[in-house]
Amino acid sequence: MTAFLEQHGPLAACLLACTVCTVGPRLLPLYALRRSLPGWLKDWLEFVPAAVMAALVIPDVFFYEGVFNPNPLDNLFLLAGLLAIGVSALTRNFFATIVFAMAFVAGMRWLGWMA
Amino acid sequence: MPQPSSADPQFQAVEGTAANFRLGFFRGLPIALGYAPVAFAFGVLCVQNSIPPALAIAMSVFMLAGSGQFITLSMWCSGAGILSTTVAVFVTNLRYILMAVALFPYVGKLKGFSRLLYGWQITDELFALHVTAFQKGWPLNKTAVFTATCSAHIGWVGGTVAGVFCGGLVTDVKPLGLDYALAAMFLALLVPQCTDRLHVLTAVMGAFFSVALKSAGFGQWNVVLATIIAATIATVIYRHGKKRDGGLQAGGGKDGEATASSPAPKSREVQA
Repeated sequence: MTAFLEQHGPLAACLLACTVCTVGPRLLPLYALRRSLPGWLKDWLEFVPAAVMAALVIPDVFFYEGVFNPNPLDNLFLLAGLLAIGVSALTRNFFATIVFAMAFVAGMRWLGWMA
Repeated sequence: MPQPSSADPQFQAVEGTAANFRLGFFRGLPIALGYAPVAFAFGVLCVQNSIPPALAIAMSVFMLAGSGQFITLSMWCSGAGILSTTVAVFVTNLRYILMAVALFPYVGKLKGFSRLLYGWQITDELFALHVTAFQKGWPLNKTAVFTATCSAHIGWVGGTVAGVFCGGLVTDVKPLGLDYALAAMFLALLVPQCTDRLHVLTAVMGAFFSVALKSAGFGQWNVVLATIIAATIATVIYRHGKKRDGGLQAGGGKDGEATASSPAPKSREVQA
């Protein structure tokens, strides 16, 4: 144990600091906020889920393998994403959307039409 | 999250039933399936960069953060110091503040260890899953909630363990489409968020600013900045519309956009 810490002490310290910086932002609001939020904040929070989900996922779809590629015929993730949005809007089915999108990506690769 | 249906209320009343456990498991399953290959890749990278297995697994147990862990790993291995690594991770994780604030009205009543564990396990995916469920009117059922979060957590840690110890066995998850699982899940949760034109606009703005900021080199800031900008613009439009409607009464706005949006969670039940 001592030898382990001597060898990996700085890394362990870095990981500890990074863990605090990960868990802190998650816990802070749950402990700092009071029961009732002001009206403007409630309105604002109503739009946060749509904004944050789009901000998280859309870059992953447009940056296929790290390169920005807005052409759906050349970017498998973008094409699959557009179709998944269609499937989700039509079926309103969570599982069907996921299974469709993964199967589409796997299928296109299997067929060798897109990589 | 299985399809909400008329059968829902049977899950809701009692804590600890098998039905709640099943509900939580099936909510968490797609996340666990998406996490496992990503965590596997993380484990493999850790071994390749001579991170000891114990620390690699400890990261997945205690941080439970996809981008956070990959940034920590890559910055540490490229020789960045503790301070710059920590700052980069912190900036990347600022979005969790927004998520925890958005979840607070629903989970604020959790006490003691439940609150600590729930907060600890807020990830992008679990946030998206739960905020959607709560908006649809699903109650805070601890059995269902923690079965879902712990399934995802087990998938993440299990994937890391597999990557650390048998990284050589699986070389490519691409043929199964597993590298698209999390994106697919987000899209399946994002579309139902778009309950009206103003929410569609919010999502489009969030997407646009996030891509633009990432292209401009704000790689760690893009999500949190794009979210704040998009949600703020939407709130200004919404409150402006509300104020105008208050004056005009039944006249309505000429774009109809602001008036169509109701921030009341009830408006979503129609969709579900």
